[in-house]
Amino acid sequence: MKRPSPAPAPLPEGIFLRADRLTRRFGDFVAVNRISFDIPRGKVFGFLGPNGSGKSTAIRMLTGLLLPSEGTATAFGGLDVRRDAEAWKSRLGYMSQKFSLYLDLTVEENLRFFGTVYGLSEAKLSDRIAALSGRLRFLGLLGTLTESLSTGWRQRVALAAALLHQPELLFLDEPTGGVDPRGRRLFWDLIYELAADSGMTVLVTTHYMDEAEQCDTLAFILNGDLIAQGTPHGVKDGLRGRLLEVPLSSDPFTALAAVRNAPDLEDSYLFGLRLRALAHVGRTSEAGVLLSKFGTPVQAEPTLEDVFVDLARDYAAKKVTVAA
Amino acid sequence: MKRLLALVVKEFLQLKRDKISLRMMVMIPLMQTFIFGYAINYDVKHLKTVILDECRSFDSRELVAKMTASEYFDVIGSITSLAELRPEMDSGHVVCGLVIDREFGKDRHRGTAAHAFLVVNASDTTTATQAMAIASGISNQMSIQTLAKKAGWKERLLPVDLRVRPWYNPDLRTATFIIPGLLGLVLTFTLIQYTAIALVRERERGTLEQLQVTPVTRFEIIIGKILPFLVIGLLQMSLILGLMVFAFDVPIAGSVLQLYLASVLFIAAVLGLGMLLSTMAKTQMQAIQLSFIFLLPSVFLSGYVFPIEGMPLFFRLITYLIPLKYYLLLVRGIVLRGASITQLWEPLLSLAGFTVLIIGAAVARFKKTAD
Repeated sequence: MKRPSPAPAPLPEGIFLRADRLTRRFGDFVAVNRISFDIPRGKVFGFLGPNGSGKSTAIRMLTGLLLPSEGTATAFGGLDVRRDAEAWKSRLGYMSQKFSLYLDLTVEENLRFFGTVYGLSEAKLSDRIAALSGRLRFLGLLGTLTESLSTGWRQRVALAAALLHQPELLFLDEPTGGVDPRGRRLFWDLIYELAADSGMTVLVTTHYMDEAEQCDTLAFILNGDLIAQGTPHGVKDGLRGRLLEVPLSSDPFTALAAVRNAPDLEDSYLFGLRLRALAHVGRTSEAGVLLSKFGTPVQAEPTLEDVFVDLARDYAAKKVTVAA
Repeated sequence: MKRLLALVVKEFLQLKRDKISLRMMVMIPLMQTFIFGYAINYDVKHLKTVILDECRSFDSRELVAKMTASEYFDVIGSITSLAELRPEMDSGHVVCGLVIDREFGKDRHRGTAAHAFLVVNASDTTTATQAMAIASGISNQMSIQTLAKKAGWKERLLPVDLRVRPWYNPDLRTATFIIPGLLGLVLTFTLIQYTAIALVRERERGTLEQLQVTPVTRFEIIIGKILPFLVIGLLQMSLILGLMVFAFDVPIAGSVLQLYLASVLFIAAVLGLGMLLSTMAKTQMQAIQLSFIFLLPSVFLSGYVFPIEGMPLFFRLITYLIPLKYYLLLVRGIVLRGASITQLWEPLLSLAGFTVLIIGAAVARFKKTAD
């Protein structure tokens, strides 16, 4: 018999969820490696990382779908994800990466089913369905068989299903995969509206950098390790070295080839008709000299992608060092 | 309770849209009952027989006539030597060969034994046993006639008269024995697969995961899957029962209500077994294959085909794991002998225990986590 785990320490004011050294192994493979982070109440927290980095495993542990191999998570003012699994589940909403409503039910039948499972009364359920279908603009599709909806509409219905019971915490696992830009825009507007209106806390995974920019807080995950976290601004400020940019008049590929292996540069790439280069720490002036043969270099605002690529390179280098 | 109801309603809504499955749910049990009910017949008549009559006398013709009159043997030709019999038997064109000795007639009247022999294809023991029993009956009858004539016996009664009274099935109809058991067998075959694929299908479609993050309990998920198919199973059972009574003329001697009670337990047991398999399988294909592990033993070890009393101990122990075994005892008891369930309390309690255990095991095995 496992002894009941002790009650978790109360979370500090303003923190809604705390993950503490959360780890998940599948056999010898470590999918998520001792990640710890806090999600502030009512904020949108983004998990960023390439496919297979452990984002989904992490989110599935936080929903209670996967048991952590080690570590734990605390939320909802003192519930433990293992100990209070059922209470935990009743207070969260989850939209998985794969569309997971019943294709052979109509939109309304799906919503009624999940609403009842979450314990909503008949009257309350009707109110919620009316409100959500109005807000997500699928009122006219309530009687449609879910199977015949396009990806964008399915995603809105799935979101509505996750929101029916007014969860305090919403998990979105790559919610906008396969959705057109306008649909993505609409979706994110709604997420922000909801977070602002109801004080709902949101955890979203994505590999779209533009979506990540909109999050209040970010965590970068790579190979199961959490390699950086903070606000989008804070994360960008953490970029080592300076990002320089120079407009090109000659052939961009010749220019890129010329600087590719320069020792003063960490990285270089084409950005439209401009050449961007990340200087090594303390080598900004040398890099400026190198780039000045193409034009006048200016300092550029790094994107999250710049930061991520740099972090990934740094992470790989450290791994090599550790291995050697 | 409301959650359980929602799960059941959802299942019926999905079924309603699956027109092909719905049709199969009605057609498959009906067809199977029809086909097996008519096809299975232990009472093998009209065996193809050739005659080698070396006697060619009134007596040899009397023997052939008696065999033919029994309707068990159809004479399809005659041969002139034993050598001709072999290829006919080998090829399977002929099942029996009657060889009558040259001196058959003379010996019969002379008072020594008159010889004839019947060659039977005993590679099929059912047919062979039947042919042997009928042939020895005819032989006894003719012997008695011969003896009576010699002794000048005038009485119309035989000195010893042992009569067999076949209760519960006076005409010894195979259908009467086969159909009530077929009820349980057809239900096993159709129902186990419904639940065996039920959870796996939701897992494959990703809907199970969505269900697992809700506060629904494991018990509700399992029972929510079993209940709709329990209703389907009872409907299927009613259809088969209708065929049994009206098409195959097998009346229900006992209480119909008690028969339904036993059937509810049995159907729940089979569905529970399917659910247990569903918690083990990763794909629908595996679930179907797993269910086959139970299907053949249900046919052969339940007592449906072969009596359990004749099995070696090890296999007799296995039969306790087969719900059809208990159901057969109940159905045959209620339908054929008119027994009440109080008389059948042993198989009834065993079946009830099995049902509770198997559903409990399915609930215990099913996890609300995805690993």
